[in-house]
Amino acid sequence: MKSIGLLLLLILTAGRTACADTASDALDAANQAYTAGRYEEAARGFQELIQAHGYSASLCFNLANAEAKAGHPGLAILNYERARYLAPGDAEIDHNLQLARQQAGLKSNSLRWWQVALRSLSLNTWLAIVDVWLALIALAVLAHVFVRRLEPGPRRAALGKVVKTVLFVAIPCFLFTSYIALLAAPLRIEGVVVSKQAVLRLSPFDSAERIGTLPEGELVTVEQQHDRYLRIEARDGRYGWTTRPTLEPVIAGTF
Amino acid sequence: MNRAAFTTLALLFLAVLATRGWGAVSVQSRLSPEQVNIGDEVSVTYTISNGQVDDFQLPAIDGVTVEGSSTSAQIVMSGLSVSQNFSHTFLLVANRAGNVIIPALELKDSSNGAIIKTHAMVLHVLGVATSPPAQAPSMAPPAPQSPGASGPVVMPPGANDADNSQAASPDSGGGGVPVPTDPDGEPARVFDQITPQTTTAYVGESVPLRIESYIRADANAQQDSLPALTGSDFLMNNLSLRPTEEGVSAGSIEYIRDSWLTAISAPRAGDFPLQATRDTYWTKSETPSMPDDPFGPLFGRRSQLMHKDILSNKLVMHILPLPEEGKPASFTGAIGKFQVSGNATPGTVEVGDPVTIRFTVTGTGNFDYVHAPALASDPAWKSYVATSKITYQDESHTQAMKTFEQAVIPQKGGALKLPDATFSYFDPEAKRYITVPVSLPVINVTGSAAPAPAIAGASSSSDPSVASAAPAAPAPASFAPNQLSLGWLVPDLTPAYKRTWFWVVQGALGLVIVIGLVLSAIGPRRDPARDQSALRHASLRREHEAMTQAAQAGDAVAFFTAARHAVQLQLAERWHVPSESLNLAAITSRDPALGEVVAPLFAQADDVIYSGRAPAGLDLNEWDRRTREMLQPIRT
Repeated sequence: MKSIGLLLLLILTAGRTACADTASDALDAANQAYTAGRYEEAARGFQELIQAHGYSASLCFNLANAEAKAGHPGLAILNYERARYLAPGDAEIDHNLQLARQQAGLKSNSLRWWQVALRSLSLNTWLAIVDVWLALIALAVLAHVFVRRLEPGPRRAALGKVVKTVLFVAIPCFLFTSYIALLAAPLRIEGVVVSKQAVLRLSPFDSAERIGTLPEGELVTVEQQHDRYLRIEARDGRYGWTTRPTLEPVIAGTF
Repeated sequence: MNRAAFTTLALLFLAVLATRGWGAVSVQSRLSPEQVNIGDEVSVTYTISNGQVDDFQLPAIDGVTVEGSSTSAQIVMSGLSVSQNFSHTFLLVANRAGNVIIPALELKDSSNGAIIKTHAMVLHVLGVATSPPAQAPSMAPPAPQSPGASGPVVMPPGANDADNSQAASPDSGGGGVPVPTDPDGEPARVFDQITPQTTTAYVGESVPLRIESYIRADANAQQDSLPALTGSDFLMNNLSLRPTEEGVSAGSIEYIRDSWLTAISAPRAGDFPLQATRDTYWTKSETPSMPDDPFGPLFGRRSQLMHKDILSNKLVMHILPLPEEGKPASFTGAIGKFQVSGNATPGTVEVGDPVTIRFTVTGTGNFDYVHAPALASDPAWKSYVATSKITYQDESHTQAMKTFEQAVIPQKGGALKLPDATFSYFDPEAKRYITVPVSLPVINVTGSAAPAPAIAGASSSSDPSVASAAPAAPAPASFAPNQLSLGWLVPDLTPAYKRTWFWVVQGALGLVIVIGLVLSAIGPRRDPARDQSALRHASLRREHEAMTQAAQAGDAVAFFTAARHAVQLQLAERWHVPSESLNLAAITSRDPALGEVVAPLFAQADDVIYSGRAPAGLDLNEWDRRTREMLQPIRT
């Protein structure tokens, strides 16, 4: 029985190692293409890695670099935003994002100090911390039930003090981290203009009046959807309807 | 209706008049139509409510001649309010082309001497000579000119269309509108009229066009569709869904008129027919089938729904090609009359920071073809695609204000002049291209190379303190290199709180907390023996502490009281009996051996407690040790 288990463990470990080796080789190949100036090829390589293995701040960052060098500012800014979402406090990501925005003629959207502090951890990390505090509170409440059933004595008194201390610390910490997670949560659906220009229309119809345009790379908030049109609001307060293909969501799959 | 009922209604009416009285004095002025050809008639009606102006005469107005006037009066009841209206109508004839101002008037109310003020109105008179230039090819036969009109070629419906059953009528006595006739010889129930601002235009030029749809007031017709142009020679701007609706008189016939103001443009040169069409539905009333039926006029009519496309008058538009000679390189197709201005902000930036240039183009023309002024190539500046925003100022969308925002980035430091900007358009009146230079300010650019942008956590680049703290010659901005590791991979970017499992975990933990709180509130089942034992344990702890303190203080009475009570409590816990019942005799009777062990303690205790003092040489610490040793076997 032990030998079967060991064999399974070896197979799983070997499979995982082979998978990691494949991904690592593909990453090296894409990075070499980038270094050699074959930016389109590098972008394809990073994109395939993401499709095969999932997102990471590093992959999004590398893909954004390749798109920026390949002359696709919209896709570059989109992937920098994704990388910043995954690693909000990363200085290199913010540096390249601001540089890409600057080169696209857009204003800086660097984070303020409190936003940096808020995003020093990713949203999912904050949520995990919230869960840890909640679990501690649950354990303390259960322990309290157990302690009440103990024989009166010094042991019961000591355990009671431990339970009270845990509750005294865990409840405020749970409330505080919940508030931080709420602030960090991307409650707004955001997208980036990835075509050369996004035409804003008054209504969600092809024949509707044009009321302006948004430049490539602009970060917008998506407020409403209607067929193939999205109602968006730009950072400068302008709003209107634009077609879906002109935008890509920062959090893939949100529209 | 009997007499009593009639009298009651009359009294009610008088009571209402007495209580409500007349409303406030007001005046409404109406011009119909608002656009005519030279020689056409136009009516101006002033309706004065709750007031009266005797001997109302129009002053002399440049551009029109007063041909006649009439006055009528009526009483209008609306709910409980009653008003008396006097309408003064003047028949004018336009005698020159252009805009004719019907001035604002100050009228004196004859009843109380109050001054009544009217608004000024503008009458658009067409008729500017627009004969096509010699180079314009004529692709259609010349259209007959309407009498007295030298501008737009207005053709009555059906004049050139054998399929159109509406015959042309020379009757144009109603406000200058030529009213066609139906096959039965009556004035047409429904007809449409189009009036362009001019019939000669250039390719791509926006020509304002008025479309009017007339429905005879007694025709009981209904039109829900929007008019459209026949053929595909012209592009037309979108029409407003709700037209301007008003009642007009054409000759002696009352019509309801829907009117739209739009603009058309032609994509190619030549002479093309221009005609509008509109789906029309109307119900045609029939006479009662039984002439003797007294209810026939109310219920006996048979309604028949009929449908027909109504064609408007037909014009020929002469579309001229734009001249190739003198066409500027920056010409993007804008035709009309435009004014351009520009500014740029901020006035001081660092190398690499964007400057926003804002251009504003106002005027009249085809704003779809108005693009941002062209910036000259300048190595000191890198420019980006401009964004635009347009605000239309009239219904035809030919008057507007279009603003452009264009970002440019300085590539070097110093007092840099922004690139030269020019805007080119074609002026159809002057028949030539015009290029307007747009003056832009000088920008003060600090630094000598593009600095690295602000890193997360630092102040933004617009912060002056950052600018002053920056090195004199910072390294050129460049992208941070690629990362060599895959990093922490996640299958997708969806936040945890949008996943079901996250809320299942929250719910489970919350449930655990709730259950725990409920169990804590209920508490363990109470056991009297257990409670008694708990009390004894607590008392025993207190007696132990009292023994220690008394021994240290040398208080023999307190010590032996506590020591004896401690032994009683310990034995009571062992035998489950009340501690008060355990004197030395009781202990000896239950366990003689134990009685011998505790006897010295009980004897010494009695001696000390009853005497109230300790014998000489009594060592309390020794007794404390012996008592605790005594308690040990009892506990076990």
